[in-house]
Amino acid sequence: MTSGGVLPQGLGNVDVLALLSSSVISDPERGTADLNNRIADSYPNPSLQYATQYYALQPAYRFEYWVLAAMVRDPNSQQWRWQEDQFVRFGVKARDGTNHAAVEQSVSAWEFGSIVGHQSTTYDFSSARSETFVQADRLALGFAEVSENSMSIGSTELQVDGSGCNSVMSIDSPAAQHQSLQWQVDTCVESLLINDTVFASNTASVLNGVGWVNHSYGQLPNQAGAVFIERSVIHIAPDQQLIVERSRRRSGQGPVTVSGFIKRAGVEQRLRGVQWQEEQLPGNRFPTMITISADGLAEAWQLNVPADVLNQRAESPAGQQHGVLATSTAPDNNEPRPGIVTLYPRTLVGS
Amino acid sequence: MRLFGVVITCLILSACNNTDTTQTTSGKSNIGTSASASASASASASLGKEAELETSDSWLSPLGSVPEYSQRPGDAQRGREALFNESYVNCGIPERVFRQLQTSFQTSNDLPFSTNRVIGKTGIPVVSSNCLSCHGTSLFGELVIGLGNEFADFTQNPSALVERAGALVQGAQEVAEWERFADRIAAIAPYIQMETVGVNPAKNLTFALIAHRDVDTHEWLPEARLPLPSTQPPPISVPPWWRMSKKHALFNLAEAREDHARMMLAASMLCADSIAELDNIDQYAPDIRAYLSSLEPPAYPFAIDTALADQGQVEYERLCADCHGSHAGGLPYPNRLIAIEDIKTDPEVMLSSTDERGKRYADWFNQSWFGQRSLAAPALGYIAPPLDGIWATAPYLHNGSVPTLAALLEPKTRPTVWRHLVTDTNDPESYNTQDLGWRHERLQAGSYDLNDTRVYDTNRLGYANSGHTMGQELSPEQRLALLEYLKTL
Ligand code: HEC
Ligand code: HEC
Repeated sequence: MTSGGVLPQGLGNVDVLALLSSSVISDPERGTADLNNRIADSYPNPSLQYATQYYALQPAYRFEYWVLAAMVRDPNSQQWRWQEDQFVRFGVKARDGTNHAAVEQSVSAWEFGSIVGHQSTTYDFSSARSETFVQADRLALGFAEVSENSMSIGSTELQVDGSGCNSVMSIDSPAAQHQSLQWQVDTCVESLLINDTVFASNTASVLNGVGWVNHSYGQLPNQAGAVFIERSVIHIAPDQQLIVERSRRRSGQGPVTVSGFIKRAGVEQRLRGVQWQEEQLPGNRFPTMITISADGLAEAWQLNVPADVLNQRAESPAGQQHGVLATSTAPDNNEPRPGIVTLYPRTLVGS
Repeated sequence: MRLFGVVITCLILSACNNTDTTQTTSGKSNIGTSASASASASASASLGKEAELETSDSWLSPLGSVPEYSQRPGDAQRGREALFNESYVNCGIPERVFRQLQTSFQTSNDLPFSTNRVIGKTGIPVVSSNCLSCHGTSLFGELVIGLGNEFADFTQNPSALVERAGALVQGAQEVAEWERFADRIAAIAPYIQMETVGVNPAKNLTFALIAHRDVDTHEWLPEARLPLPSTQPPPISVPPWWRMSKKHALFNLAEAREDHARMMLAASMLCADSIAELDNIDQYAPDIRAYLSSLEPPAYPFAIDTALADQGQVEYERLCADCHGSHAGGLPYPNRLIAIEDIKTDPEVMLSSTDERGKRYADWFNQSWFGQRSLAAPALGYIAPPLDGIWATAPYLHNGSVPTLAALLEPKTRPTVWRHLVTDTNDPESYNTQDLGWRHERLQAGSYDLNDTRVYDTNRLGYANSGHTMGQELSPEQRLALLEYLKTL
């Protein structure tokens, strides 16, 4: 029997990433020790084709989802919590006669090893402020249908030597102006040593600490659904986020729906009367400003969508324009900081 | 089933059938007479033999006793099976997508009891809502079929939920199934969103569907042909099915007359796109009706002071049995419709069915395939329902505005603004055995978070907790005794 008496909650609490990753097979062991074998084991589906809907010849693909979390200290012994979520893509092809997989360059719209979605959150215990850095490829979020060039957020290297040990991943994210992340993951150990350099206000700080890895992989999640979902996440106060989503059909027909909620300490509360309005400056192919408002919010949030952060090459065959994953300017100083959503406390009104 | 409690719950109120059998009418015509297709609701002056009040609006039903109508016989056991297995709703979310969403929320692999797996028009399986999405509740660990779902969440935009599922559909068949469903939900979504969890928009939902259906062919009309209902649906608390063995007409206004079986499938307007499909469903409709009429209320699961209850019975026979019927060998349930001026509960549900728009919906109904056997004729008042199993059906009154029986019987204690505290109807602690109702808290009017959809504010249009003051003269001792007695019904 199901828990029919429980007050049901809607898709409102669903993270787009959860939708995206819904076909990812969760790793039962939660470790990374025999990554390679598991990649090999996961291969027995050579007929897997990645998204023919993208109108390109596509080879077999695997999809990787990494979550890295760490507790780190800066040189002043200030403590930070840091979380890094990554969608990594790479092609896998079985070698004849072995059960090992080889990672191969593909002719896909997405290059081997490119990171298609990336989110990092830093939480500063001393000030109880968090900062989230989000970047995503339009393709990854289903906003676009074809891409000539893959987006590459920094560079990624993933070396797997087949033994299941000594696997090293290092990711450099120079695209983030304020922050450069460089870390190494030894997949043979459950906990990782973090060595990270953070540039904040033009000052480099070295963070050291320990972290944990969660790794999942599986078939590519369905990208080519009939609907695009755009989503904005705004940290409005410590442990409080405003999350707004908009859906539109690929066909251009049907309703555009907007819904939003506030997440406080993990508990979601839906908002009534959520609106999403866009402005597009002349000469831009995508909206340059998104205004989000809701009945219960004192003020509307304006999200700037800088032209250079997301992959502007994305384009549908029908020439449709698509929205973007919302990113915002920092509302505290109005200085555009691409891709950064900064915490900024606002008052929520009841009534 | 957190997710689909909502997704599906809000979606489907309907019966669809995709099989291609072209049987025209059901052979089971044991019904006495049925209104002819063109009969206007005004037809039977005979309806109101015992009318207490003549109404000038001749299309309406008179107040007073509702006459009995003969019903097509059916097989209750087959009806139960049909309820859970038949494709009386054949549009929904492609099963693969539904299960994918289930997995990502780490819910169980079983389909929720409120859904049926049926074959859609393109031949692929879809998951659709069955009647239990509104008419079933898991109570203290057991599914009670027929107990209205007082916690279903109709406060969200159902279209937003269905659209989001569209992010996962793949391939022509899935897209076609999803689109058919999503288009209809999008069309009716503005008319079925409630202010508070628990209350139900079924009536407005039916009205919105009527506006989108051709009266002769029952085909779906993307552009509504009749005026659409209000975007502020009057709230309705779902009545339990076990009353059906006593009731002569369905619904709060006793407007659903003559053949009950077909009337129950008034719900079948979301997906059934032809008369042939409706005829198909109508074949087992009498079985479903028979099953509903065989249901008994659940027994009160906590302690009862029988001596006190015996005292309460005296009060009940004195003050309540006239309208609600005796449970002690006195007057059997009288099927009485009480004038709105007398009962003085919130009038919105009644007004929305009996105003000019309401008349057009009733006319549509009576001229359609449904009207060939059934008759829609509301009255200017509410039915006094049988009180069997009344302990289990909180909150009370047709709009669910009064959280407990104790508050119903002592009107000055009814909260103006209150908030559901229950998160799990399987937990016996969720039930307040003192006041008889689900746990809730009283709030200060005007000082709550407007985004909180668990709040029931009786100041909203249609949500008033006025009227039905019977019982206010009771002494505290008499009231306690009466409450004790109500546990035994
Ligand atoms: C969207 C929610 C919903 C669904 C789905 C639904 N119902 Fe109902 N049902 C209601 C509501 C609300 C009422 C009360 C309406 C009123 O009184 O105006 C009701 C009333 C009834 C009644 C009359 C009860 C009485 O005491 O008068 C019957 C019988 C019934 N429904 C049967 C069914 C059947 C059979 C199905 C499936 C084909 C079904 N319902 C699907 C919400 C629903
Ligand atoms: C004059 C007729 C009449 C009398 C007498 C009467 N009632 Fe009612 N009762 C009604 C009507 C009509 C309704 C439906 C009102 C509505 O829902 O708006 C109702 C509704 C109720 C309900 C709510 C049912 C539900 O499903 O929510 C309860 C409980 C109830 N009555 C109990 C009593 C008790 C106990 C007494 C005796 C103290 C009593 N009634 C006396 C007419 C009457």
